[in-house]
Amino acid sequence: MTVNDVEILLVEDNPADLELTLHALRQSKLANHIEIARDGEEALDFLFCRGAHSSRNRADVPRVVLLDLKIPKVDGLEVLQHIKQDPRTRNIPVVILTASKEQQDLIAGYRLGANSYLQKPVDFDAFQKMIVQLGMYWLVVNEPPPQANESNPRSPIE
Amino acid sequence: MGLNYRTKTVLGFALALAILLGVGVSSYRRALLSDQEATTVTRTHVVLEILESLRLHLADAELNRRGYLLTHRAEFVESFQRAHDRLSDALKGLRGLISDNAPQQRRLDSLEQALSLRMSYLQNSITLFQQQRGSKAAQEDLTLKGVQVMAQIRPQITAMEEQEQMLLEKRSQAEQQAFRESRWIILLGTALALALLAASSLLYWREMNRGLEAERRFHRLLEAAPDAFVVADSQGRIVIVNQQVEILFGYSRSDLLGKTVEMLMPDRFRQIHPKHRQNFHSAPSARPMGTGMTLFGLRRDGSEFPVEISLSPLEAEEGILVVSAIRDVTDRIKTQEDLRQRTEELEATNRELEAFTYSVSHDLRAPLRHIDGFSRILMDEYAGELPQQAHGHLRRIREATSHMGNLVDDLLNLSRIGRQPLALQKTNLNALVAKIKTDFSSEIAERQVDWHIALLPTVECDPGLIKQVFFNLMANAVKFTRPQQGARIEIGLADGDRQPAIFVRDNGVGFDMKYADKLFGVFQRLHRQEDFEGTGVGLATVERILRKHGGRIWVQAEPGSGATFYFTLPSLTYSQGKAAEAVGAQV
Repeated sequence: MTVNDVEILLVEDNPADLELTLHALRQSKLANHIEIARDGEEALDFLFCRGAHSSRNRADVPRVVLLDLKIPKVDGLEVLQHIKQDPRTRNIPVVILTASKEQQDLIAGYRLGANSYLQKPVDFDAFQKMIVQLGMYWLVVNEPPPQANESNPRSPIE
Repeated sequence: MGLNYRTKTVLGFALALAILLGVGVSSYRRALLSDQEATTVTRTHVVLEILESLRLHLADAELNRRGYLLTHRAEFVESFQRAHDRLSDALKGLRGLISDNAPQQRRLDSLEQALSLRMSYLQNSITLFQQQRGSKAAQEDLTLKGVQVMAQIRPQITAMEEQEQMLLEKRSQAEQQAFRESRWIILLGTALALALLAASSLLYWREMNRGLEAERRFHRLLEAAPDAFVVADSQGRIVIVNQQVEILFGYSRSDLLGKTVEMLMPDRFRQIHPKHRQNFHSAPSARPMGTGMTLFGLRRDGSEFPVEISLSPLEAEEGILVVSAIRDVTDRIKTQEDLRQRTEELEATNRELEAFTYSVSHDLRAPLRHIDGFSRILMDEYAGELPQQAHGHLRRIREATSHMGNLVDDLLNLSRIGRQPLALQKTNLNALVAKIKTDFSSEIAERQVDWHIALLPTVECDPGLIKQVFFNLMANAVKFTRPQQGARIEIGLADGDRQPAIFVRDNGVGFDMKYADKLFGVFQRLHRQEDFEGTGVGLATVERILRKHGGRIWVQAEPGSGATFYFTLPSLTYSQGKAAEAVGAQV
C-alpha cells in the first residue's frame, strides 16, 4: 500500500452533508485518503476504473465505501448491487450511510450485501461520534480482505 | 292408520263395490227363491182346488148313481162314468203335485184306496141295477157301506187340506221372513256402501284439494322467488318457468315451454351445453354451475347479461328434472368492479403516502442535520469570537432542530404502524416490561422511583409494537413524576367489564379529566414544552398500536395526584388474567 492509496470512497451528492462528513472525518484525523464521488456513476467509474478514472490502478481499492442511498444518476442500492455482483469489487466493505432507516431500505441494503447500515443522526455530536467509530473500525480495527491480483503475483494458495 | 290416502281411497271404493255386488247377488237369489216359492204356493192352491174337486166329483158320482136308480136313464150312467174319470184324473194330478211330500202321499194312498172303494160300491150298485139282479137289500148294503167309506173319506180330505193349508201358512211366513231379511240386507248393504262411497269420495276429494293446494303453493313459491327458475327435463326441454324468467329474459312463458334451455344462452355456449347436461344427469346433485366461470344469459332482444346459476335435481314422475336457479349478477359484478377500482385507488393513495413518507424520512431530516451540524461547527470554531448571547442562540437552534428531528422520527414511526402488518407471537409481558425498565435507569439514576410491577400474563401480540406501548406509557410515568418526591410507578392487571385490563399508574402531576379526549390525538399536549418535553405523538402512537391489535385504551387522572392508563388486548382474557392474578397473589 502506497501513501496515495485511497482509504475511503465517500459517495455523497449533498454539499452540506459532504462538508459535515468531511469535517467529522478531519476531526478524527481520518480525512487523508478520501476519494469523493458526487453520484452513482462517478462511484462506479472510480471503482471499475472507467471514464475519468480509466488510468487508475485497478489494484488500488478503497478500504471502505461510505454510500448514501439517495444519489443522482445511479442510485445507492444499484451502486451496491454492482459492487457486490462483480468478483473484482465484491470484497470491498460497503457501509450505507444514509438519512432514512425505512425498513424497505434496510432490507434491500442487507439483501444486496451491505456490510453495515448507519442512519445519520440529526444531532451533529452524535454524527461525529459515529464517524469516528466508523473510521476507527474499518480503517484500524478491521482486517481487510487479502488482495488477490496484480500487486501480489503469487497466488495465496501457493 | 298407517295406510296412505291412496290405499284408503282404493280400499273404500273396493269395499263399497263388493257390498253392492253382495246386495245385488243376494237380491237376485232372493228373487229366484221367491219365484220358486210362488210356484210352490200356486201348486198348493191347485192341490187344495183338486181336493175340493174330489168332493165334487164324489158328490157328482153319487148324484148320478141315484139318478140312474130312480130314472133308469142311461145318460146318468154316462155322467157317472165321466165323474169317475174326472176323479181318477184328479187323483193322478194330485199325486203328481204332492210327489215331494211323503206324509201327504201316504194320506193320498189311503184316500185313494177309500175313494176307489167308494167308487167301486157305486159302480157295483149301478151294475147290479143294470143287470136287474140287485135286490133291495143288496143295494141298501152297498149304500150303507158307501156311507161308512164316506165317513173315512171326508176327514182324510180335510186332513190333507189342513196339511196343505198349514204348508201354505208356513211358506207364507217364511216368505215374509225372507222378504224382511232381504229388505234389511238391501237397505243396510246399500246404506253401508253409500257411506263408504261417501267417505272414500270425501277422502279422495280432500287429497285432491290438498294436492292442488300443494301445487298452488309450489307455484306461488316459485313465482315469489327472487331468482329466475327454469325447470327442464332430461332432454333439456323447459317444463316450468317462473315470472322472473319472463322478466329477466324478455320471453313470455309460452315462448319457452317445450323449447330447449339452450335458447337462453349465448351462441358460444350452445354447442357444449348438451354435454354438460348429460354430465349432470349422469351424477345429479345440487351444485353451482360453471364454478369459477362467468356465465351469461341471452335475452330475447339478443343482449347478454352475467348470471350465476345453481342446479339441483328434482325427482318427478317423468324422470329427473333439473331446476336451475338463475340470478342476474350484473349489479354484483358492477359492485365488485367498483370495489376493485376503489381498492386500486386506495392502494395508489397508499403507495403515494408511502413514497411521501419515504421521501420525508430521507429529505426532511437532512436540513435539520445541516442546521445542527453547522451550528455546532460555529460554536466550536468561532467560540472565542462569538458573544455569550450568540452561544445561547446557537444552543436554542440546536435544541429546536433536535426537537424537530424527534418529531419527524415519531411521525414516521406512527405512519409505519398503520402500514405494517402485525407480527403476532406469544409474548411474556413481564420480560418485556423488565427490559424497558432498564432503558430508564440512567434517566432516574439521580431520582427515587418505586416500581411495583405485578405478574403479567403471556399474551399473543406484536412484541415490537407492544414494547412501544409500554415504553411510551412508562416514559410518560417517569417524565410526569419528575417533580414528585417518592415517585411511584405501578404496572398490573385491573378488572374490566368483559376482560381484564393492564394498567400503568403513576403518582405524578396528572391532568384535568376534561382534556382526556384530547390526549390520544396527534400533537395534542397538556403541558408546556419547558415543563415537560415531548412531541405529542407518543400517546397517539400507543392508541394506534392498540387499535390495530383490536384493543382499546382509556385513562383516569386527577391534577396533582397522577394518572392511570388502562388498556386491553383481545388475547388478554379472564382465564389468563385470573391465572396470572392467582399466581401474583402468591408472590
